[in-house]
Amino acid sequence: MKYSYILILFLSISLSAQYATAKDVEKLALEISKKVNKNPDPISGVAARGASSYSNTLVYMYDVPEGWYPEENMKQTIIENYNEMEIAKMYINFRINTDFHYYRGSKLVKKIGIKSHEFLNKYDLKGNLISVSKKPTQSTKLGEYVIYENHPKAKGVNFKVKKPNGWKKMEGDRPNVVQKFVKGTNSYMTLILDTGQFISKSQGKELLNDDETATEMANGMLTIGENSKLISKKYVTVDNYPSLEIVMETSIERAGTNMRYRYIVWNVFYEDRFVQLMAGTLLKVNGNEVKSDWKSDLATYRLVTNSMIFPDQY
Amino acid sequence: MKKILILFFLIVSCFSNQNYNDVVEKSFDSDEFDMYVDKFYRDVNNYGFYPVKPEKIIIKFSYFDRIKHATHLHGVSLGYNDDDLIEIYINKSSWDALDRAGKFRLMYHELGHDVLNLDDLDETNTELDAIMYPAFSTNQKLKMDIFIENLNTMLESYVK
Repeated sequence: MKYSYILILFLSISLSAQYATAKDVEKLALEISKKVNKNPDPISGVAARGASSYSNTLVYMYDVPEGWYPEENMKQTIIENYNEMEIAKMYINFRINTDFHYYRGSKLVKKIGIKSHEFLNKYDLKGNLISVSKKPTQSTKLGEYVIYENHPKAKGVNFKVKKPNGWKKMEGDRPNVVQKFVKGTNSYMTLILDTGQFISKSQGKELLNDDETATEMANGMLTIGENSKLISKKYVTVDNYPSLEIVMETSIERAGTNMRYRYIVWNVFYEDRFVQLMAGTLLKVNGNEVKSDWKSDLATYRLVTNSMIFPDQY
Repeated sequence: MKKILILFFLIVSCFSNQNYNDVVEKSFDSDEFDMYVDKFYRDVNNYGFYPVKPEKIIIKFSYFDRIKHATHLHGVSLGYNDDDLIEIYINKSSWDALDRAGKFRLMYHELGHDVLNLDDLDETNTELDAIMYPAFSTNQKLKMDIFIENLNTMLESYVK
């Protein structure tokens, strides 16, 4: 009875990335539909119909008999059962959301949606939710190193950096932009400029720890757009090189469209070059908020910057 | 042990009146040097000193290790004390064995002689990585950051 309205299939899932993509989930749904036993459960009369998908959500569909009514705590029961049977792990680890649709004929009589992280929720014996798992701030896993050696726009700076999985590697489309990683409206790019003088690591550290210099540099960054706002600035190192990390928001107008971005920029003093690692997330278009997840994007941007290696320093 | 070290340490350069006809005769052009010359003048300018860039600039490779009296040299500066001329010959074998910072060090050493008329530091100097120190080994790994620090030291003492 306990499991009677849950379609259980132990599936092996092979993924093209760390987390399931829409395509992976679509394949999974097809596999389930092929393998599912459509005979009604002898006790409840509920029968599996099959599965479908949208985005990274897997939809289980059931046919329910006349007189079937959903239990009060169905969502909690499903979560507990999935954990008990140790199949919740798959949904959590691969970030697959699940929907459960119960039909009587063509009529949808009950719909339950469980986000992947909700499989970590905990309930007490009375069914009260005692521990909620919030959507984790997750960065995208990084892939292999992309090596930039003797790049014509890199002004003699050789470096390698890891590309986030699922992002596109592109050439920079402006004179000082060496490379770009792009996903949707998010981007991570490397600009290299000439400083006109050699700056040692200790000189760079001293300069960037000087509040006047750091403020001047941050203010310079704010001029790239309009209505700019400095959120934070701090001294950090990028692969041993002194750097000023700036987080800011700015608005950029392109062909009549006003776009509000939040950027994190690492301004790195590298010998007689100024390496700028600039990553941005689109927040608004013409004043309207767009769907974005700065926390998660920021985690990815930081991972990419942490992967940066300047091999000629050794 | 000391003997082995001495064997590895070649003289960075010589700028005496010794006859280097063989080095000059066996020299050949390269476009590798322009960047070093441009950066050297830029760095000297940054310290507020503006030496004239002579019209006659000769910087070439030569295989010193095939010339009897020059095998111990990484390079020679023949334009020392002549502000109308830069004439430098670089030992191609040394060059090929040097890493990036080593190449900067060798070029800035020779340009220090040729453009700024600087002398070698005394061999008793303990700062072996100093740009004007007279000898170094191609096996001696120099970090670019140390080169930059030493460049600043050299130019600071020059402008004083």
